[in-house]
Amino acid sequence: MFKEDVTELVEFKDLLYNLVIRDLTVRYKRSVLGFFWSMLNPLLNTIVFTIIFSTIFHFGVKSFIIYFLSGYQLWNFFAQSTQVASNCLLRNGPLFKKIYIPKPIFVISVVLSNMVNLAFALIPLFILLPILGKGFHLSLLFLPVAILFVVMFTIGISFVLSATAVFFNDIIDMYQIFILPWMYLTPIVYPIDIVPKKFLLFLKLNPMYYLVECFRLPIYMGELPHFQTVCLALLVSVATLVIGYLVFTKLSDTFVYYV
Amino acid sequence: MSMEFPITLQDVSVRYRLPKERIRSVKEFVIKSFRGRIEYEEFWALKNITFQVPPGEMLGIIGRNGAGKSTLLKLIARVMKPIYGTIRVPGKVAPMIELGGGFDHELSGRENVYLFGSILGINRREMDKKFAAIVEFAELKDFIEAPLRAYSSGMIMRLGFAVVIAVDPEIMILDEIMAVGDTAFQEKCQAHIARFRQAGGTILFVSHSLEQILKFCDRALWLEHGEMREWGNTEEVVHQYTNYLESLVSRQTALPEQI
Repeated sequence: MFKEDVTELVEFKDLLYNLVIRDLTVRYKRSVLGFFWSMLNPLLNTIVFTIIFSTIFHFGVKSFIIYFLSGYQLWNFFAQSTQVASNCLLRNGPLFKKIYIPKPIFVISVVLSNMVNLAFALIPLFILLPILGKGFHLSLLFLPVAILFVVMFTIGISFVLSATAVFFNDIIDMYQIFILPWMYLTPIVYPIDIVPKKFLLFLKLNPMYYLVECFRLPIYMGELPHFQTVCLALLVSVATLVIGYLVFTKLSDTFVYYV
Repeated sequence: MSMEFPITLQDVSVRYRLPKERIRSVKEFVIKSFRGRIEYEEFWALKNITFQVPPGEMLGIIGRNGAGKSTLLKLIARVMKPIYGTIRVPGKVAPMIELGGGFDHELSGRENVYLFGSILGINRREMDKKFAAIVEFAELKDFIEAPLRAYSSGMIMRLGFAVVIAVDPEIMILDEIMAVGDTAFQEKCQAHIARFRQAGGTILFVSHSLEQILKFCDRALWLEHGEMREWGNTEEVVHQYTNYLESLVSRQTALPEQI
């Protein structure tokens, strides 16, 4: 089952490529501002949260910016991919009702094009790194691994959301509502130190906590994440991907009846 | 050597099993499951369909709305799987999508040709070779760099048709699509279809225009409530079908007098 799906994806790699290019062109081509718009939002948020945390919690401004941006950009990749992917089957229904197209391709193309966006979003972060006195460390070489974890997790969640949204449209709205509190439950806008001890367990049940840690520590602290954190991140992301894939393939033959 | 038919259906049946009331949200689902069980409605969209189409033939499919015509096309295009029976369609199938459903309106004509081509399984390099011929056939040389939203619906259909024929499929599916463009363009399409058949290509043609069915098809299939009502010689099948339609009309007009 899995082997066939992979061969099919290879067979349709040109379609995958074209879908990614389409997403990016539609996003960036029509306005030069397109690129800057996507920078503006994190920039504004950075300013707001930096003011809050440096004045209220007396947190160092320079390091807070790096701390916030690294977590926030990664979170944005996850949140945007999953939100766009959640209705990708419904959007493309008219197409795969007429022509045979391997369905995972729609989910994967969304995640891939958002990976390109993430690459763009990391540019200002890496420009700020030396300016704010953090510098580049060898630990940055761990970032591809951290990104791989998040990508697997994101694809897994997107598989589940897009497949179930075919049957229950309100999954999409429910997820939109759910994603904001989820962000605030993940230490992205606030430092972990301010979380009271009794809530730490709660924090550690959140898979995104480990994924963000794996990505942020090499940038912010210039050191590798703990072995335990890496293991948990790997476990969580692989498990999510496998479960998502199984749910998706189990349902995929019936999509055509419902979209 | 046994010759393989491009399309072989053996005892094919499709059953739809859908909830009686369409449940489209988790909210409804939860409420309904609490109140009692969800009732499903079953109906056979296709029952015991068996036929073969030899290469180079054009099969006309007729029948009233809901007779199972589009379900049949979906099976042959591999979009849907039957509950019972077997389907053998070894060659490449290219469905004509009405109004170029595979297109994106923000992209240029050129980008759309590559996108739609990759949906139909044509890779980039092959498309580079075919591109000039497609633009030529669609008569869109001056507009090919313009975004598709600037196109008229006729232009989009011409482009869609040009891509489909360039894909060089073994089987073409034409769903009420003979009315592409002006008379001159239609004649060009028909000439192409004739050449395609001479080269051994098979065509499935669904239309409510019995005139067109009579004009183009070698063979006809009349579907009624998912079953094969008649199969064979086009004139005969169309004749029977016309009689049937007339009997329906006279019954309906007779009704008020009986009351």
